[in-house]
Amino acid sequence: MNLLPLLILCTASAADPGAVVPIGEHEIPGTPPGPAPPADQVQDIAHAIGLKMRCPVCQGMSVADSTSPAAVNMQNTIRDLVGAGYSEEQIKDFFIERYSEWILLEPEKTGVNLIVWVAPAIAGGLGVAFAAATMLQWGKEEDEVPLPSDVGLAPKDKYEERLLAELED
Amino acid sequence: MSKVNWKILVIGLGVTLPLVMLLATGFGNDPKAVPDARTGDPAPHIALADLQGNTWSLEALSGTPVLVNFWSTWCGPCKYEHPMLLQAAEAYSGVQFLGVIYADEPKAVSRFMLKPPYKGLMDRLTSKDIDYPNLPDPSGRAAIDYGVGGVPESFFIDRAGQIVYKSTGPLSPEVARRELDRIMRK
Amino acid sequence: MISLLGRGLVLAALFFAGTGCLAGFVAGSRRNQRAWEWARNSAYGFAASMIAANLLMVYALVTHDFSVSYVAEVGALRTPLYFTIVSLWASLNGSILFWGGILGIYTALAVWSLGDRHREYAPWAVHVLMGIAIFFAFLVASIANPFAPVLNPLSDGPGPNPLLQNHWLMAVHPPMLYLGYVGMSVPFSLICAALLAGRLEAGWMVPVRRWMLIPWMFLTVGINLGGWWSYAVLGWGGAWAWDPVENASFLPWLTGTAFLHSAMVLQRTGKLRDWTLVLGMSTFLLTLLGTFMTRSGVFNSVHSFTQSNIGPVFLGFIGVIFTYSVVLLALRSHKLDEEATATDQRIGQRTDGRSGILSREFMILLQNATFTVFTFMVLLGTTFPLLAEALAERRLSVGEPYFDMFALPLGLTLVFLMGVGPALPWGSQAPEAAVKHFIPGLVLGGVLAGIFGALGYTKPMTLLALFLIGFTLYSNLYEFIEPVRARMRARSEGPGVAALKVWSKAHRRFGGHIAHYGVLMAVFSLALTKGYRDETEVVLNTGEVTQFHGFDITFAGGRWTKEEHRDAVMARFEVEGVGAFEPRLNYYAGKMGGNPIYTPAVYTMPTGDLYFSILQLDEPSPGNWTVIVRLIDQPYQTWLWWSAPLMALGTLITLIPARRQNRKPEAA
Repeated sequence: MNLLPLLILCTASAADPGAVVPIGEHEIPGTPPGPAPPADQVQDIAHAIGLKMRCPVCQGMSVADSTSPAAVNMQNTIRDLVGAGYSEEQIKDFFIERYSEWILLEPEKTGVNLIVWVAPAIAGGLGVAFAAATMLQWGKEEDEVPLPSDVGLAPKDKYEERLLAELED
Repeated sequence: MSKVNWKILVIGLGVTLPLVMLLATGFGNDPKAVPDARTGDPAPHIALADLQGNTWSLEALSGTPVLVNFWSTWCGPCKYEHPMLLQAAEAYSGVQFLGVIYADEPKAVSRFMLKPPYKGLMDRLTSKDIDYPNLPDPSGRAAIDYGVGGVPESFFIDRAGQIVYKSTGPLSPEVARRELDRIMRK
Repeated sequence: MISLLGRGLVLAALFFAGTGCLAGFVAGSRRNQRAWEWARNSAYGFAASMIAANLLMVYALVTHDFSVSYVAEVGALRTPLYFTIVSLWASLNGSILFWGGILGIYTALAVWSLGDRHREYAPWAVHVLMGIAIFFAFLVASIANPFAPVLNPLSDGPGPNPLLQNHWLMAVHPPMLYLGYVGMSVPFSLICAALLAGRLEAGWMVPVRRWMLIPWMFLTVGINLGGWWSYAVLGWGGAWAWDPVENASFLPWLTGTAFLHSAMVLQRTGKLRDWTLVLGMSTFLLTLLGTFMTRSGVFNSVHSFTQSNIGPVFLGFIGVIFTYSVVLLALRSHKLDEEATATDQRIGQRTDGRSGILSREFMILLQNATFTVFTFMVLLGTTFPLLAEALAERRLSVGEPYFDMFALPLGLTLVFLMGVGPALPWGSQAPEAAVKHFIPGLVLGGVLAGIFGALGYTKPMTLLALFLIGFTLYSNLYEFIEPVRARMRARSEGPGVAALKVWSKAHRRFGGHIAHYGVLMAVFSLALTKGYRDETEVVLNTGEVTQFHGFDITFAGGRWTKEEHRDAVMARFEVEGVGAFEPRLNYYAGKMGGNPIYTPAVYTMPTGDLYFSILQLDEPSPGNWTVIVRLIDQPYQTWLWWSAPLMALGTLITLIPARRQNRKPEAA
């Protein structure tokens, strides 16, 4: 039985096609903006920022991508703030103040979050180390005495012979 | 019995067991819940016009406890809690109730309020000179300022203008009573 | 009645799984013929009971028998027949039953194909497979019972989740994924069988590899279909968002692909044995992890409609089987070495001498290392919010920007290795020969990048990707064509005859090449869509025109339609010289809080897609509509979808059984 609507929060995944969503106000109280960017760049800058902000009512989608009204409103707000001259940092702080760092799709590089930023380098290093160690291991194994039934193949001279022999998979 | 490959055992268990334990910590969390960043902050500024055209501003209400309820007519739990809110507005006439309309059309809200039981409850409020305005928030800026992640959400603001409690989902009468008492007290 | 019968069938399945597991153990450890027959028949019994239970549930759904709890949960009289059948996997209890049914099919096929051969291994394989079956049958019989009787059945039900009724793809994407996920139980069981038997001969690697390839193919197709569904249905114009459940399906694909390659090294040279076994087992273990992530409620995802309370039980099973796998491998790894020395049957006797750096096995090793790093990063990114909350009580999100950051370099590395590996021989090669080999590929890469650069695609990452694609394409084509030419020269045959002989004789290898071409198609599409997707949002009134990427688009207004299970409002866009496209909003009565599901409209061309997605649609006055529409240009998007059939084709070719003439007995 589907009793879910009574028990959970409604999160709109679409608009009632009667509501009109105009552009929002553009001001962060208490923070002065910088110089406004040229009008034809505003959309692109806002889009790039919107890709890094999480839509609060969607499942992990960015505000620039999602089509839900909450996301559209947030993207409009971002666009207005960009047009008013606020920097990406200021806009991020604006949303963090209202939603906590959860609103960012890329964790900030502080405290425990460093794990997720340093890990790629460590993982990559371990990968290389693994490959190198295995290579050395192979070198050692080849020096050991082979099994009696191991056929010692002389290196092939002609590429074609080798190819045809290889094809007998 | 052959000897044990300790490298495999240690690395294998060292990776898998912490992973399983980590996943176990996830039970009991609601991954969908939007974090509450606003409780304890001064209530963000609201200045919106209601359906009749009168402007309501949070600054002007300083000194009065306020309950801000974000809702919409397409949301089931919102409709479910609305009669209770109207009754509470009558019982707690010292608190100013403000309804902010979230992603909805003002006309839909007007139509909605004409239906029973809402109409009857609104009429009671009007007869006692109690205002319960519904404020359209067309740009969604008020919702963003309050960190709203869905509807219904209610914010209890005390006389000093601080958010003391945020309720997510339909408001229960017990919680409403408790928090309304709290903001009336100070 | 159906409830009772269904429950009975599930309990029978549980019974057969139990006896099969026990008999398999006895047959494996005592080499007992009767026990083996008992194990085999129990396996068939499990399969028959589970498949019958599934068919019975479909029957209950189609006849709208609301006295069965699952039908009461997802059935509705007004749902079209197609979606009624498909609602078998619409919600948790049905989907676990479906899992059991697919496991039954795989069990039957695997046992049948093993026949009476491999008697040292087969009973153990049945033992492990039935052990897994016990768990799933237990789930269906107890916590996730879809056959529970409803005491006061209603005359109608709520119907399946609207997201499942929105597009026909929902009928194909889940079964494909299930065939992938569930199928991984078989190679896992076969690998455990070798460990339990204490030996691993080359002959046993043949079924292991084959039974890894089959579910891998379905998993590849399933993931691709999921991307297509996201693109064609969800309206945001993207195919992949690094959603936790998407990642859950990607993890086993990564290790599975790595396995397919390391198994080649193992069979050729005898190297990387333990590593290959780890990859093979991990692939199955990751599918369990993925199932847990989808259904437990611990992760927030688009797939959240399948949540339930089986989470803790499932995690318990995961803990048990993860530990079992690690301990089994740790205890038996040295036994495999001893056995091989004692019986002089080490795998990979065709050693070609030393493995130099310029050798195929070293390239595969690097590729495996890359896949492992990739797997680790995806797993870390997906679980990091849990980790941060557990360690520091911070709530944060890890989304697309983070994953894209490392997926790009890792993906390009894999493309590069895919070009170098097939061009190098097993063993080693002199550097001069290798360089001579690579130069034409580098030239082709340069040409490809140059052409697209001249067309205007000048972003460095895009050009780099195109360069690598050209290089890898040449390399694979060369290995495809050159043996034919070599044979023509050596045996003086014509091209047609030579091609037929060479390709049919070495079809496994060439199937792999075809799969590589599929991968290149996907990478090509991704390189261009990621770099050059362009979107805009336009407000239009009825009759207004807009230009976008050379198209004249007229908004011809909106309209409502009624279908049997939903109402829809559509916006009609007429594209000059092409036709009309109608993105829409689908309303399912009484569901999703009255909110509609967006469905975009897509105009697909070989060189790109024109994508329409409604953000808002109003009718302020009758006959006059206003739409806010998002228009997206996605270059070469459709190449991504076509990569999956090509990869599947390559896999199917590889799966064709080898001919047995003049072969050493090991190639069973």
